[in-house]
Amino acid sequence: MVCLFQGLHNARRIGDLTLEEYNSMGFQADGLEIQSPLVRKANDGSICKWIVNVQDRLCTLKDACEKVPLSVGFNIELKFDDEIEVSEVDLKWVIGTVLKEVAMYGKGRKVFYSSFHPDAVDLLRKLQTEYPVLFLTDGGTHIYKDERRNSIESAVEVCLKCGLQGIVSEVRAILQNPGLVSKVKDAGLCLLTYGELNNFAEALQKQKETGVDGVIVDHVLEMVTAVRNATISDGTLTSSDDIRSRDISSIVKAAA
Amino acid sequence: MALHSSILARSMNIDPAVMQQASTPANLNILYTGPRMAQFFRDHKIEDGQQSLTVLGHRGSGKNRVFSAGDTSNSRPSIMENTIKSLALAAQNGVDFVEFDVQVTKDGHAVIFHDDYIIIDDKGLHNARRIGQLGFSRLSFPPNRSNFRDGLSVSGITQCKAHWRPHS
Repeated sequence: MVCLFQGLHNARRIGDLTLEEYNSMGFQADGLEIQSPLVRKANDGSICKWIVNVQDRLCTLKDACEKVPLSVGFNIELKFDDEIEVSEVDLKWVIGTVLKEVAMYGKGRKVFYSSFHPDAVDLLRKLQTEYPVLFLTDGGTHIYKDERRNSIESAVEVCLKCGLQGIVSEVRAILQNPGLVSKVKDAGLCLLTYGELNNFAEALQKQKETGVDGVIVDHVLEMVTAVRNATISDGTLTSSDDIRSRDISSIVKAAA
Repeated sequence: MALHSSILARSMNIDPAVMQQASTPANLNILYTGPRMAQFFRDHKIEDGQQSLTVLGHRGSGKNRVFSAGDTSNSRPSIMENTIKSLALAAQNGVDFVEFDVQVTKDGHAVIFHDDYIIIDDKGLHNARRIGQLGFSRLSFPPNRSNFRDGLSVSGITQCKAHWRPHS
């Protein structure tokens, strides 16, 4: 993997770092000075401090397997740089390492894999049959050179060709064209969504009605509460100021 | 399957037995498809015959927003994304799954991080106030495809760095 920033030592690819270097970056432990604070680029391209209310150190997959309660499942997304062509050797190296670690530390947890990379999901399926593999797609909200990434219809084809279990789509593609849900379901696939709109209970309600299986959300407690309340009351998901305020105060309390 | 894994194991210098374990489930009929897949996501969510949505926490308890200089944030409290605290809190708050991003270090460890590049503050070089002074604000880093279009001048950055002197 070639670093586009040669000569700029402060921007590195994960694949060019050792674990020790990775662990030394960002927040360390409470009370310790941060030697290498993380920064990030904003949408306008400027570099900004990475500011959060509750800090924690960077972690590994092994850490997560050991420290996150077994009752919660893992959706492991395998990341590959969209801007470069990832070689097959690199794909196999990354996927093989992850599969090995999940086999070693997974402890029977519910796990499924996802990736935007069509060749990666194909390999993930070929190399193991224990865990479901889902194909991630923007659903056409962003256009890529690789046609397989540009629509729900193409995603269905990828799934059927590679024997995958389902699709994770940007939610706007689904809300703009709810008829797509049945296309996915009729192919025997499951459908999850991600995106900003998944932080609105009304958007979740629409998806529930059309048969979407699951939603990836940022505003966790608020959306969990909305879904639970809908299940025990009349089945309708609505957001309320009450839920919103509870969410914020309990996040602060629980994470402090 | 076994063939694939042994080839892969050799190519990666991994003990084939470990790789075999990685790619062969103890129980061979686990693959979730069709109705089984629905169960995979919903088995504990069916109440009074009513199917509900599975909820997954994005990078744990939600992705962090990036604020550029001068951006005032009145947003909800944030927890460092893709960390144990963020994942564990999402679990505590009742999600069925946590979603997170995995990449692999050059010495073969799976780590949880979203961006293509990890950028550290280079001794105040990225202090928000100085960025404007140095003309850094127009420079763009490749991880985000929308910013990639603007192009990137590595030499421009190194030049800026070369001319930059701390106030002391």
